[in-house]
Amino acid sequence: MKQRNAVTLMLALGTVLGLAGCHNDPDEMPAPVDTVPAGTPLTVDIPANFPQMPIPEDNPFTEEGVELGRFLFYDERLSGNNTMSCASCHSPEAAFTDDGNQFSTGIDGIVGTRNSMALINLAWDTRYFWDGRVLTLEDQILRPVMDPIEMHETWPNAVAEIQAHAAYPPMFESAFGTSTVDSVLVAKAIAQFLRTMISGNSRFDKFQRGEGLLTVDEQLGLQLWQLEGGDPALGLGGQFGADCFHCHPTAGGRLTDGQLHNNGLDAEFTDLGAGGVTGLAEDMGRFKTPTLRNIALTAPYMHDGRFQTLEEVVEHYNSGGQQSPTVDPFMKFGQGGLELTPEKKQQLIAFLNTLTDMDFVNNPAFQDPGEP
Amino acid sequence: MIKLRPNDPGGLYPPYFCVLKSPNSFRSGLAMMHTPFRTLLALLLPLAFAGCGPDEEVEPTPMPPTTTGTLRIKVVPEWEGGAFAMNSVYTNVSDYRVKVEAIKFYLGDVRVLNGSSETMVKDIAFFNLGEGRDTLLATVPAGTWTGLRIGLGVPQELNDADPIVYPSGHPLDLANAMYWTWSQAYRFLIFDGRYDLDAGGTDPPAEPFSMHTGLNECYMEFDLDLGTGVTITAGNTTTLTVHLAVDHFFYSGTETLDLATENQTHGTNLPLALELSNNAAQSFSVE
Repeated sequence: MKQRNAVTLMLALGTVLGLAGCHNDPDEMPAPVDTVPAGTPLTVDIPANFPQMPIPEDNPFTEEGVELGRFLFYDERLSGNNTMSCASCHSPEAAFTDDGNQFSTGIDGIVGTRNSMALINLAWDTRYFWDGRVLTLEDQILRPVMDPIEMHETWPNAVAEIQAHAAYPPMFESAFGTSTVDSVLVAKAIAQFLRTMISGNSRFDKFQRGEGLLTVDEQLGLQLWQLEGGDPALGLGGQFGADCFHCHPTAGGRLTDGQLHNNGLDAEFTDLGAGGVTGLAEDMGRFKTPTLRNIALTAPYMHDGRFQTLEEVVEHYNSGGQQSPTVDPFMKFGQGGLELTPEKKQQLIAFLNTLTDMDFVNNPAFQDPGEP
Repeated sequence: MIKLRPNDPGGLYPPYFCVLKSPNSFRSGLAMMHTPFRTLLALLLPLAFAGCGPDEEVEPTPMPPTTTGTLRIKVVPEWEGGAFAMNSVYTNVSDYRVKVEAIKFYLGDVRVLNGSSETMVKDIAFFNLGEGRDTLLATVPAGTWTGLRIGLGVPQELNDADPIVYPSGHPLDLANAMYWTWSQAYRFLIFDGRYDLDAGGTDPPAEPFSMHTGLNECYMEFDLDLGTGVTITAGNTTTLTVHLAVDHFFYSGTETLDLATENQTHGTNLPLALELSNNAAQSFSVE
């Protein structure tokens, strides 16, 4: 991290040296009217085992934007009766999930149908929600506010309440150059905050960076992760591995491929997943692959929170899953499943536990800042 | 006309799979982190220290005339010379009913040819035909070019790099989900779908096939003959349609890829991966 900061400082110096002081007549300099974005540019540290963070050109990081987003993330004014904030279902005490609940309950007491997803490393995602129905983080943030089974608020109402708060208009002015609040700016600010929520300091990360070791069992679990599943006599190329790598690749620290898959939970779908969005037969029962970061802290599991423990999850994949027209070829239905021994299952779970990042969960910068 | 030139099979990787590397052999993220910043510094430092000399009028450097144009290569999948659609059911060379669900691949080291001269015009491009990502744009010197030389896959130099160096939007961006962590290398071709051995069946094909090529051995270079040539004019875009015969993925010459027994490879079944790579590389053509 220090090296990254040093590089950033050098870049800043280089830029200053390069772009200033070489002009003979300051009067000839074009006036920087309306060309400098509001806010103080912010450089976010990226773990060394991660790729660059994609940042939207129309929503760069600023100190003021991130700070504003943090206040808004925890602000209950965004809900219809001012009782729920984003953090209600994505609580830091529960690793930014909904406190172990299978489903979340909205302001009207209506229980949802999908498990609250953990908010981790969202900046690198390319689709959001379990069904992948939106493609930008800013767009994702707009939805729960309006959802009648979640925060059940209209954006005009939410915006009016934020606008009426004495502290917020100046914060918007500092962050975006305007004191006029609108939903797009609210979403941009929260998106900036969420993009700073980077988990990259688990024991696995340190192992990947050569900064720490894993136990023998954990390493064997990782090895199973990277091996093709199944019996080679039943399915070509089988290596008796756990075959996690296809959908949860470890490269770049992502632990998700970000794609949509049907992981064989059901023979018949009660939740259509992406198919409910696109209407396409080939999308039925497909859901976004979640990251496995902090998986030990974010039970229950799957889009409907049907599994309470990692043992149940591993057993599901071990079984090969349920047949359906869209079940992913990576599942081993019909090929005898993974056939993992109890010892191998425990090694796999031992590895899953190395993905816990308490530095992330306890990071003071992500906690409730109180009233603005 | 297609001239296939398979890569040297004596690649870096042992056949079938690589044993997981030890912690010390993981690529050093800290070392790799510096690479893009070195590049940035290289760009910024000249800005910092150049152009600050004594007052003098600097003659504006005349812009060189544009000598390049854009070649837009659009890949159009077909089935037996006709239209092809993902998730539609076709009958393949073995008389099996097949439904293709994903075709994703890299084309690398794209060169334009003219006689004995060749010019590299694109290092790497990613195609995901199921999501409409079917076009490659290359900057090409103006002139008439009579052939293309293309690699199906990721050239070794790019393949061997740590994937975190490739930024968002780059063809090798991890977000494209083409990277194999077990081999620390990219998949070259993903060909997924379902099949039914019963040619007379009426239900949707149910048995999955999932064939992913990768490893440097599977890199296949092929040539496309452009006949009298494609002319690139300075500053303009020329579109070239390249046909991709998806039905050809299941055969080449006298060899047939039999889904009954050959339906899965993820690097652990190298002979099948090579067979598919060979078939696929011969599936590209230009009219």
